[in-house]
Amino acid sequence: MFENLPLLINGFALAVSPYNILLMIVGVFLGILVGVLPGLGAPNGVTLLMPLTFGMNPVSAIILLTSMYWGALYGGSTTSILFNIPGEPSSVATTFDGHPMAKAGRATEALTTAFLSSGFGALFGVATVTVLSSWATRFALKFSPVEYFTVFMLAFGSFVAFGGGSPIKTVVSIGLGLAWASIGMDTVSGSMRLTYGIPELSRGISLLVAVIGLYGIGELCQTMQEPAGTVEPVATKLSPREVLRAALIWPRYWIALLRSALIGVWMGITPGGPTAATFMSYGIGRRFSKAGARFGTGEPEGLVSSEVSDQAAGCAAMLPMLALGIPSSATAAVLLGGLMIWGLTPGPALFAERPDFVWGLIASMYVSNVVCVIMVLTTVPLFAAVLRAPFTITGPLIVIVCLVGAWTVGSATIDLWMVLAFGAIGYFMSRLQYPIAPLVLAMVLGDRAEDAFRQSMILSRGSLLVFWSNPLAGTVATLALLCFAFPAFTAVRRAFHR
Amino acid sequence: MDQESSPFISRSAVEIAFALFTLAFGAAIIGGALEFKIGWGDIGPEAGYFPFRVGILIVLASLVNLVQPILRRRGPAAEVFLTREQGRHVVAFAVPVIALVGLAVGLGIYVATALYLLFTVGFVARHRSWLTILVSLGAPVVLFLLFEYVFLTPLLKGPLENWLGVY
Repeated sequence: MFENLPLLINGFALAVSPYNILLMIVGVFLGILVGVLPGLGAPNGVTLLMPLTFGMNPVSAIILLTSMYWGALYGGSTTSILFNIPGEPSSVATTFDGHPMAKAGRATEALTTAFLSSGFGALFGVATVTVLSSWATRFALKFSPVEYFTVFMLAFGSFVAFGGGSPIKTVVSIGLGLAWASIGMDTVSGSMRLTYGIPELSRGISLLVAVIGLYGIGELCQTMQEPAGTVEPVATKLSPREVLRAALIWPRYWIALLRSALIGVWMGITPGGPTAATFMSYGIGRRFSKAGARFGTGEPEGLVSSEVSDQAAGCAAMLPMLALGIPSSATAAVLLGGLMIWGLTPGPALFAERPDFVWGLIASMYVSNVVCVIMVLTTVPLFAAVLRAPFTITGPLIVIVCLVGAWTVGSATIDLWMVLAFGAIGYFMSRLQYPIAPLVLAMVLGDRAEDAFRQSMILSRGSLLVFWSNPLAGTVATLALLCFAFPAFTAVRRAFHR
Repeated sequence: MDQESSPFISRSAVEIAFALFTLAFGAAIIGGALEFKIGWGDIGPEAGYFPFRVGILIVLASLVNLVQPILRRRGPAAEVFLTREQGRHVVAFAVPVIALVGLAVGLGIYVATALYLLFTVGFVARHRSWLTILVSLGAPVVLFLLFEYVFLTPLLKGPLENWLGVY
């Protein structure tokens, strides 16, 4: 455990340079902004900023983008509590108790509790990443294409089993993502696949353009559907005295804090992701806590349960992303795409070859989450005012930002049309409850999943039994199959109970 | 029920339409994969192997999604996807955005931005004229300064920029 200490200290030396601190502040500020505004969530915000980081050095670039991610998670909680609008899917559970508290005149208490809980979850998540990283890289060294393919399947399977909603629709989402990923050049044979004679398709469909359309334009369209002026105003002044009082009560929830942090870290490392973590943590809290019966009526402990696990999962997700190249949230998937664009290959070799990058990022996570808590507490009135600005102006401006973002990805006019198409698909998908996160994950992992499968088949001369040829791969492969079978199992059980 | 909140499109109709879309998409993927060998070659699975199976997966799952709302349609739950008023809001949002992309491709992003904002802020939302002019001229100017000089990532330009000699 202590072998990492010198590396972490070096990381801090990198992360706390004035330039990087400035990037953190800018990143957190932009993050809170995209978290607060509808149509610009964390995955989309990080995507829009990414083309501007192509020329930066990778350490500064990842600090800027991850700071934006953390900021967006905090911003999402702000709108959940004040306006009952979850800025992020992972802050839906925050509305359950956060908004009733705000409506009862306890907005300051709710916000302070939420931000401190998020900060605690983040620090717990980063500490876990710090401690487990050498173990994770040693573990990842055992991975051959066979193990990688089984883990990719487990990542998809866990969306089918635990994603909530219709498992068949999740399968369609994964299929669409895999299909879009395979458009363009085939990495093994070099032939152009699925381009249907359209030359622009030969460079493939850009993940960044797809995310901007699916999350940005799609969500805006959904927001526009309801007439403006439905936002209920709640008092947003934060008096320092009330903040302090709430902060002093906050340690009382230590059981909920620890429980939710453990759930969050577990869901972040295994491919479950922050959204699943918040619902699981909230559900377990309601069942086992003494305050459980009051959950949903404005109980601070419910708020703690959701917030801690959200941020803990978000931070812990960096570990499988760096060590294995497996993202467990949509934003982590976008960051992974960025890593590859900056010329870095995730995996155990990254820890050995670029310790400055890995440890600079881990150290920055400690610092930027502290920056987040301070900034979010001081800027709540500002961002509440931003949200009150007429949406008939901010909406069109967000459209422009999305379009400009799509252009900067590859300076191609076809990308502008693509954003529209993905926007329409995103609108219908979210209205019809097709989950978008597994689609993004499949787009990122598609090529690598196919390569891993083909390499495994070359190793085994075509026998699928290779996925059960050793205990590690066999266990993961079995778990993945169980995940895919899980919805069928519950459906049968429900039919019997009827 | 008044005209405004009357149902415009039912949810099951949209479910069926979207399932048909994913079905067609899956079929197109299968078609594209069939241009290559979809079986085993000397070096393991051929180029079409993976897309072919992904296409089949999409088609099968889409068929389930297609059948489900048809079966459920006989029940009482004829959920509304869009009311007439919501439909109008969506169209009022989507049509200018499509026009924006068309204009951007022809006239460049800066000019298209100005025209789009002029239309949405001034004509659709009917904000005051000084605010409309401020937003619709301010936004492209800010974009121009940011992207051409700060980020050094030139945006798409059109005939106006050519005529002004700005590259």
